[in-house]
This record gives sequence, C-alpha cells and structure tokens, in this order.
Amino acid sequence: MTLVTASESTDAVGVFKRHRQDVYGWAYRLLGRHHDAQDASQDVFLRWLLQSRRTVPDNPRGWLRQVTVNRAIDLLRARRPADPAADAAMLPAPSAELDETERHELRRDIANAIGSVTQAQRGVLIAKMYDGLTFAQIAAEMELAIPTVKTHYLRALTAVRDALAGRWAP
Amino acid sequence: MTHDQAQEMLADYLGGELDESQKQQFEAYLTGDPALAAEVDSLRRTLAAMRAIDEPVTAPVPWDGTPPARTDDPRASGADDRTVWKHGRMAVLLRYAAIIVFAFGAGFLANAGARGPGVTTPSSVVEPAPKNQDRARQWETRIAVAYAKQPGRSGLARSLVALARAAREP
Repeated sequence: MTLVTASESTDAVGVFKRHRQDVYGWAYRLLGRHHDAQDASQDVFLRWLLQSRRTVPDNPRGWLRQVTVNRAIDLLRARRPADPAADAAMLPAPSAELDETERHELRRDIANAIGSVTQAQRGVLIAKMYDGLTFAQIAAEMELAIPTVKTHYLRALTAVRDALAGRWAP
Repeated sequence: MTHDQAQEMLADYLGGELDESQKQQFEAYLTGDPALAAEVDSLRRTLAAMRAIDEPVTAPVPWDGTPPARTDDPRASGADDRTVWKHGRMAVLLRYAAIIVFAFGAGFLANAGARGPGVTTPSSVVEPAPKNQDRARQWETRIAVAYAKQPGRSGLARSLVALARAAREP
C-alpha cells in the first residue's frame, strides 16, 4: 500500500470515476437490478473514500472489484434469506430462450452460488469471467501463485455448477 | 497425454488460454476419458449459463459516482414548502438562532437579577458593578474553555455547544 497525503487523496474521486462503470457492471451482474446496483456502487464509493484517506491500494481496480463483489453478495443475502427449498424450481437449460423473470432467477442463483465460495475464489471467478483477465494477470493482481489462481477458478466454477445442478432441463 | 496432465490443463482450457494445438490435444484426450469429458462438459455449460445472462451494463445517467443525496433533505423526496419549513435546513438554522437568542437572554436576565430588584442602571453607567464583572468574566471563561475543548467541529456547532455547557455548569 502507498501512503498518500491529504492533498493527494483529493484525486480519490477521480480514480473512482474512472472505474465507476466497471463497479456498476460488477454489481449489476450479481444483483440484476439497477436500483440495487446503484446502492451497492454508492456504498463502494463511500468505502473507497474512507480507504483512500488512509492508504491508496496499489491496484485500485482490483480493490474496487473485490469490495464491489463482496458488497453485492451482502446485499443479495440481505434482500432474500437463503431458502434452498424455495429454490427447487426447475429452470430451463441455459441454451433455451429465457424470459426476463427466468433470467433474473438464474442470475440470482448464480450470484448466490458465487457468494457461497471463498473471497479469493469469488474474486478470481469475477475477474476471469467479467474482466477477461488471464490467470497470470489475476495472480499478479491478487499476489497469488498462478496454480493457486487456477485452483480457485475451478473450485468457484464447480461450486456454481453444483448450485445450478438440477435447475437445468434434462 | 496423461490424466494428470489433462487435469493441469483443465483451467486453461475452460479459461480460453490454450493455443489451438494444445486445445486440440486436450480435446483428443477427452475422447478417451469419459469421466473427465463429462466434468468438462458440465463446467462448460456452467460458463455458458453465466455468459448467457451477461450483458453490457451502463450506469444510468445522471449517476456519476457522487455520494447519494442527504436523506434528511425533504426536497430530495419532493416535499412541499410547508414540509421544508418544518424539517428543512431553514428550520434547523432558525432553531440554532432561537437557541442563541435564548442563551444570551438567559445571561442578560441572570445579570439583571444579580443587580437586585428595584435597582436601575443609569444610562450613563458604562462599567458594570464589580460583582457583575466577576460573573461576566466567569461566563466568558466558561464559554472559552468549552469552545476550546471541541476540536474539529464547525464554528457554529462549537459556539452552541460551548453556550450549552457553560449554562449547565454550577
């Protein structure tokens, strides 16, 4: 982490604005609703301001992604309590056309599955899926070994698969 | 290719990081390993499901990353003028002004009581009696001490709190 003076922290808003679309996108992909995505994004912005007053992360984008994903997961859990029995409805296979309700339900199930894995696994999966980073780039950003990143990726993907199992048409 | 080698290539295959020859080599191996082929197929379908509901996301205008509006601002919720007068900033300022007037009025009355009933102060008298000078100096000291004990607050807030604390002291 790099220490910055109070005057340098005034650039914190500018840094966030450069990544605000990405922050919003990560939040929306997990929450599926613009209103919730905006709430999550504003929460992340306030946390970014508080963080930047202490120390500025060396990789602001990675920091913002991690915090956004965690915040979106928290909002998702707060919005609806976990109820596996209520989630037993069958969903069509992903290749079939989905209406808006089905898309929202699938997105919710995927987000819940992502929320069930560890923070590191979650970060790797989001970075790989939605940011298109390579394993080497993710490893450098998260300060992990490349094999560890690949393991996290597979475990997160397996968790999502297992959570969605039975919801696809046979 | 061995099973272990194929397992090591699994993350790269799913993550799209194999070159064409490696990809063909991996897929050729899968034809002879049904268990691994099924695993790969289920994970590929999971990725497809996640991509199927993914879409370009743009933060709605005019949100630009600024903090949310004050929740105590009634105008933000479309309140009418009467509500604004009752709960808005003008009402807060008027309350502050009333407190200041009350505090000074209480101090004035305290000084008047100290002079005793029936005693009038000629308009030519400039210097207060010695007893009132001590009381005035006591007030000034109390207020100054209370004011100095509040670093970080606005001038108005410090003044009001200082007046309140000075009035509470015996």
